[in-house]
This record gives sequence, C-alpha cells and structure tokens, in this order.
Amino acid sequence: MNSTFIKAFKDVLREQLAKKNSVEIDGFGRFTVVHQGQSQKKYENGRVVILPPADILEFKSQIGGSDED
Amino acid sequence: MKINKAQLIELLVEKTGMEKQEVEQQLKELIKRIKDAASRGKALEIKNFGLFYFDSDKNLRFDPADSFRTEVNFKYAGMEPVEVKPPRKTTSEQEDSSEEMPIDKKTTESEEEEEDVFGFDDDDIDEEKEKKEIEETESDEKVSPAFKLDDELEPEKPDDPAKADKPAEEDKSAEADKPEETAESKRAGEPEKTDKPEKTGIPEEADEPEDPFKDLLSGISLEPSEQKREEEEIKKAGTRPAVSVSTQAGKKGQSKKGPGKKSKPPQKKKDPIMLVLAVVLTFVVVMAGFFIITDMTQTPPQEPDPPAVTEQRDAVVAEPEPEPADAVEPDTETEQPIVEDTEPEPEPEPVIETVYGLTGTVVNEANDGFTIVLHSLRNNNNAQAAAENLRDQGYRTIITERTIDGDTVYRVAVGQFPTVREAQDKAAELPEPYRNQNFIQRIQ
Repeated sequence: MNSTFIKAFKDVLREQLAKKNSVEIDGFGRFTVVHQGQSQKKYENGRVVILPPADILEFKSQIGGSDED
Repeated sequence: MKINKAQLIELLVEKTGMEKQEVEQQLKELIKRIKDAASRGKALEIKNFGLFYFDSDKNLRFDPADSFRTEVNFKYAGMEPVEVKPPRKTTSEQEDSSEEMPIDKKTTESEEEEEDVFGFDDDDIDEEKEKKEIEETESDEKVSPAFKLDDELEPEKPDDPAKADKPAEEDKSAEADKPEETAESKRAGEPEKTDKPEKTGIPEEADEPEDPFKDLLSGISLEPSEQKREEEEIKKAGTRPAVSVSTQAGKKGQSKKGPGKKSKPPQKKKDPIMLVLAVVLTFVVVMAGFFIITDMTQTPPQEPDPPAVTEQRDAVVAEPEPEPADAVEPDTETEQPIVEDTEPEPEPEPVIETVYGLTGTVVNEANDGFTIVLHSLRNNNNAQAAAENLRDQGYRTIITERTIDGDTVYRVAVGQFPTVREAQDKAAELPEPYRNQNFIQRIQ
C-alpha cells in the first residue's frame, strides 16, 4: 500500500471531519462528528463539576464482524 | 455535509495526484487490511489517525488518535471542567486524601492557553516513519487495544487528570512509607534476627506478637503522611506531652535502629517497646483522626485557600454595603479579585449583582467573573457579527480570544457573573438555540 495514499487518506478525513462533515465509505463505515452538550457530573463525595461541551468523533461500522467474514 | 465514497475518492485523487482507479484500488486495499487485521484479532493502527479493532461483539471499532480527537474538538479544546460544588468535608481522612482531585487545580490555575493538547506535527513523524505508517500490533484478544493504543501514543497526550495527579500522590505516599518500609525490609531481609530470639533464650511467643505489631505499625504509617503525623503530635503535645514525646522518641529509635543496627537490635526490649509503641501510636492516630475531622468541620469548604484569603472573603460576604452604580470605584476592584480567587461561591453576593448581569453594557470591573459562551468561531469577522447580533438583543456581549497552539478562536459570550452558579442559572433562561449550546468560562 502506498504511503502517499495513506497520508492523503488521513489528511482528507481529518480535513473533512474538522469541518464537521461526515465521511461515509460504503462497505466499511461512517465517520461522524457528534456534538455533546455541556453536562454536569456529580461525584459521590458531593463535588459537582460542569463538563465542557465537546465534539466527538464517532465511527459507525458497517462491518458486522461475523456476517462479513 | 456528507462525504460519500465517491466524493472521498475525488478528494483523494486531488490530494495525491494519483489516478482515480489507483486510488480506488488503494482504498479497497486499506479497507481490506483493516478488516483482515481486525478479524484476526489484531488492531491496525494508522499513525496520527487512529486504531481499528474488533470489539468483543465483533464490531469494528475505531479509536481516534489523540491529535485527531483534539482536531475534531478544536472549538472546545482546552476547556476544563469547572467545579460548581466542592466535595463534602465530613468524610474520613483516607477518603479525603483520595479526593484530592486534579480538577480542582485545573479549574483554578490552568486556562486553555497553558494546554499542550495540540500537536499535529505528524508531518515530521510521517517522514521518519513512512514505512511504518501502518503498524500491525499483535494482540491475543480484542480486549487489549486500549493498552496498545497507549503504548503507541505520542508523548503529547491530552492532560489526563488522573495521570497528571498520580506522580505527586505516589511521591507523597512513597515518602511517607519509606522510613518505615526500609526499616521493615531490612529487618525482614535478615532471617537471623527472627531466629535469634530462640537462640538467645526468649520464648517462642516473642515471634507471634512481633508480626502483628509490625503490621500495625506499617499500617499506621500508611495512613497519615509523615508531616501530618508530626503536626498531630505537635497538637497532641499540649494535651499529652509525655505520650507524644515517647512516641516520637520511640519511632525515631525504631526507624533508626532498624536500618542502622542491623545485627544486634535490642531483642529483649522489642517486646514491651513494641507493645507500648503500638498502643500509643494507635491512640495517637485515633486522636489525630478526631482532630482532623473536627478541624475540617470547622474550616470552610475551600480548603486550599490560605487562611488570609478566606478571612478576607468572609469579610466581603459579611459587609453587605449596598453598592449601586458607583461600584466602578476602585475599592471593588481590590475586593473582587479575592472573590475570583476563591472560586465558585455557592451563595450569590448581593453586593455584586448590580455590577454583574446578563444585559446592558459590559462593566470592566465585572471582568473577573464568568460569562456564558454562545459562539466559538475561528473568524474574527464572524465573531464580531455574532456579537453585534447579540448586542442588538440587549445582551452584554464579550468576545474573548483564545489562542491554542497558534490558532485563535473567538468566543462570543454574554453576561458577566460573579459565580458559575449564577451564570448557569442565567444560561438556563436564555432563548432556545443558546439554552442548550453554551458554556461557562472565565472572562479573563
């Protein structure tokens, strides 16, 4: 496999996902960016903390391991 | 926007300058390799991109590399959790030491500028490791990818609070344990000693009590740190001078004798001394625990503050001088930094409410507080436009600039609030698009 290809593949995906575009590759899976709102977390010891929002990268596989094998 | 496979191939062709067919071929091969590796129970890592593996349910999973993760999360990168309520203070001492969560320090000290989360220096790495671009890592099961990922990670991990905190804690406990441990290990390392009692004519039972005491002692030494114990003993000195002195003397003697006089420790004395020591130490520890707990219930919840500051803050709370518009005067300026230092105050201070607020115009004196971020934009013009829009709606609008590793984000925020709590309350009253999409941050 070609290393320039790999590099380009990474770059393209990173660019697109940084723009919050989702990238779907048929027969493989879909990369999406999911926004997670700010939330509160309570610790057992009574501490309460606000967690900042975040954009999280998710990968939804289209490969159901066993059936694709 | 959605990029499908065809578009992706187009982009790849553009990027690589390769033929479309070749790109398709390469892509196919890549996917095949990922599948193959994953189905063989291996994880396939693409450097600076992520790790593909099958989870236990045989689903393909992808763990993005840290740099990638940060890139995606650019907008919010460096935002730290903000503490709204400090932990309860009525717990026992052991729990307390474990509660020293890193977030505390993070929120008070570090803003995003200090963060070193970013690191897209993959180009250099790429050059070095062109051949190693893709690494297949063996794994016996699907279980281990997380660990593997760790191994593969570049040094610039995002600040993992737990990890960051650990060394310090370990150091502390290590310090605390050392003297006792060395003494013990030395002793343990010399079996002749344990044999000796028999030879020297001391009855066999001597061995039996020794072990429990050793355990007791080492157990005790683990609980409070060395300093703490000293403090406690100093406190103790008032009430029970004789005991504390003997404890310290005993302890010193013991810890010194252990490593020092290896060959001939006073075997005969050990028995009664140990007994006394154990009893005294347990007593001291119990009393110390009592003292600590009572101390804690007396001290206000913000424990890391130096006493001077808490006093001052109390003073601020106590003086309810109604301060209207002339709060612009410098005396509030001197007071407010204190308020800010002491972090989220549970109860809003009536004095300050006139200075702070959601609407109206920005008051410079209130810039030490918190604000509700509604937009985070990379383009200053867009930020200005968004701010203008909000200003037209009557909000006090602030644009803060944050630079993260050379890139600047403009955060458009509304309101000035003395506490996180107040900012939260106001944020909950905002109209819809903003009510669920906001974040509280420090203004400065």
